[in-house]
Amino acid sequence: MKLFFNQLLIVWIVYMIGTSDAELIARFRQGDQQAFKELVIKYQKPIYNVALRMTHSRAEAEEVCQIVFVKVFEKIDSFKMDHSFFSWLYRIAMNESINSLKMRKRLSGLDAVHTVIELNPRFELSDPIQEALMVLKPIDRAMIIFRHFHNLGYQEIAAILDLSEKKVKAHLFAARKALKPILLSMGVSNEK
Amino acid sequence: MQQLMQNALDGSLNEKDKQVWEALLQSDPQVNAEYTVQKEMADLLQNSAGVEPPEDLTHTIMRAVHIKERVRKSTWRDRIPAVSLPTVRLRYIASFAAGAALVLLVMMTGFDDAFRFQPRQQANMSGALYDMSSAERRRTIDLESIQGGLSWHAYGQSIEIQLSLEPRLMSDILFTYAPEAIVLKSLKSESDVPFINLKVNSEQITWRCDNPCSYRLTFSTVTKEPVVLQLQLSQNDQIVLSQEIK
Repeated sequence: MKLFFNQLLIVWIVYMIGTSDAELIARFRQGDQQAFKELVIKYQKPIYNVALRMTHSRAEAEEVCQIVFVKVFEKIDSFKMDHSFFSWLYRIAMNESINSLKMRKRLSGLDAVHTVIELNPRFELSDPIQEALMVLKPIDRAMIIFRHFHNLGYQEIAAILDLSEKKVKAHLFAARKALKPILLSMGVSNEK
Repeated sequence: MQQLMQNALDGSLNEKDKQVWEALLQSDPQVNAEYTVQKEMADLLQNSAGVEPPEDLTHTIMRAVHIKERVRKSTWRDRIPAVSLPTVRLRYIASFAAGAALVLLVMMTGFDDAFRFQPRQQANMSGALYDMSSAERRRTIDLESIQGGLSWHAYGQSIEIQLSLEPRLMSDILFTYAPEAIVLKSLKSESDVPFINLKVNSEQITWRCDNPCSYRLTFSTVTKEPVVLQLQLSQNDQIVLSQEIK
């Protein structure tokens, strides 16, 4: 009977997390490095896009991706299988993007007297929407990114950012409202 | 009202709510204006496509993971064998003996003499303050144990610092020095690795390091007072540092 319930629990966990993620995590926990690489390949694009949208810098987005997956690698044993893997991943990406922004702020006081070689220019996207997003507070920017660029549901966003669904909706509402005058000042409008 | 608007934006209104919502839109111009803004922004944002990551991102991530794994495996904790009970007893005895010796020292020399710190033994917020006196011309420090920051005093006309960095990940390096007391004379990369995002001013240098590399920094002091140099990393990277006073 106990065995039956255990099996039922595993089936439920696999259902909750999505078959392939659960399998990959289980394989990786057993020492299969290829399984980790598959997780990287599967999630690097969304994570890179979240970081890029948050930081507006390709170099920093790459750095955030590295940190996120290194953290996943280190902490995978503490990940609870009844939680959503991608929510966990997105949350790390969000925290690391915010850390990266803080680091940039710390370094921004420097006056550039001369620059020898800039291999990774920080600001490369010339998208006015992205420029406008950077004016928003990080939390509001995150709402827009998750809801409109990644098509996540309110419940998923709430799980990632550890907020109530009500707060997610309120932030999203405020973020879209704040975005309008910023875009207008940049000459961007969707009015037909 | 906000719930209705949210559902309208999501396209998830049922027939009954749809009628209520349409009536509300017609009767309240403020709600109508707010909805127009929200709808316009939602439509605009929905058209933004994602960006393809660099082709070598998987390789870069896996390399960072392997470096991290290698560093983790080589830490001293992994190399120390499990402590057996006799060893613990031996440690108690050693601690007791050391304590007794300390009490004896205080009794013989007086408290002030026993605990008067020399300048080079001071500690600061970042964990360590190193006084590079002439007696100690070279010192190698593993920054991993200092939580990613290092400060030290330096005496002498010319200070040469050798930095050997083995970043686990891409890392921002921030070097700060006391204004007007010290001047950066040269900064060289000794491994033909070009500087990324290098910025220099009279108080700070910063650059980004994503490959193992060795750097040589030469400063000259314009004061006879001790000067302070500080080094910070964006992550807690492993860094080996040595300094020569000429």
